[in-house]
Amino acid sequence: MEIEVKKELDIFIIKIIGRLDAVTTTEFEAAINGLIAEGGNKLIFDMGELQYVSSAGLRSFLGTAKSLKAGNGLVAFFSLQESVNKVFQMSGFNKIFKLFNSMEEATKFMNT
Amino acid sequence: MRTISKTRLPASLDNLGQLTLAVSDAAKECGFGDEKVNDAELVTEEAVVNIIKHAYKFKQGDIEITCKADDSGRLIVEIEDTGIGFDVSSAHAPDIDADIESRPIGGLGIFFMKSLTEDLNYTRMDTKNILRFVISIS
Repeated sequence: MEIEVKKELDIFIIKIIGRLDAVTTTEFEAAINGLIAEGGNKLIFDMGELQYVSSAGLRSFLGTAKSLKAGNGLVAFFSLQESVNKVFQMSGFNKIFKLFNSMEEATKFMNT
Repeated sequence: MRTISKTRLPASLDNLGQLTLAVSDAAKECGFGDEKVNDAELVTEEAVVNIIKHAYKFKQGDIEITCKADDSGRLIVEIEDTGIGFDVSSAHAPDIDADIESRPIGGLGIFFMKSLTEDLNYTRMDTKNILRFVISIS
């Protein structure tokens, strides 16, 4: 798993590449907690190159959303691949998170 | 019924990749497409992580995974450990309609195992726990 982070005004766009499983979530959580500690409270996850997610990965997303929500922050996702989308649907995460087709739509949601 | 592979490794997150790979390779050998290979891998990860975190909470041990194919092309996976037993069928389903604040962190692993397999059963034989599941090609 690798992540690439870019900042557009007050929004962090985080591209997750590879697999988010019980092993790689530790590194992922450390990176995300670092962004939150820097004051980031608007996070958009680019899921276009995330091929696999397990319950460990979902737990990280939920934990991130819970800590952001406490500080009135926002989280959104875009470009979910089929396998990842299936896991989001099955777990009901499609109902608790904002999922978009493109970065433009996700950014628009953050700015309104 | 034929045995495709047998993999035995110490129960550690360092070996998670090799254990899930054994099952996804077997799924590919059964002719499964990408979606079903992913299902098999996901169910295996959830099962293996539960064993590492809970069954072997107080001691170390091995995990053995046997992959078989039956005549209808179904993949049969048996995961064995010698840790503390836990019957997955006794676990409660998570509330998948809860919102962010009330949604508990956790409980999804067993739900995925139940949702993505046709036949998931747990047996305890002497000191051994055996979790067996079946995934079909379609």
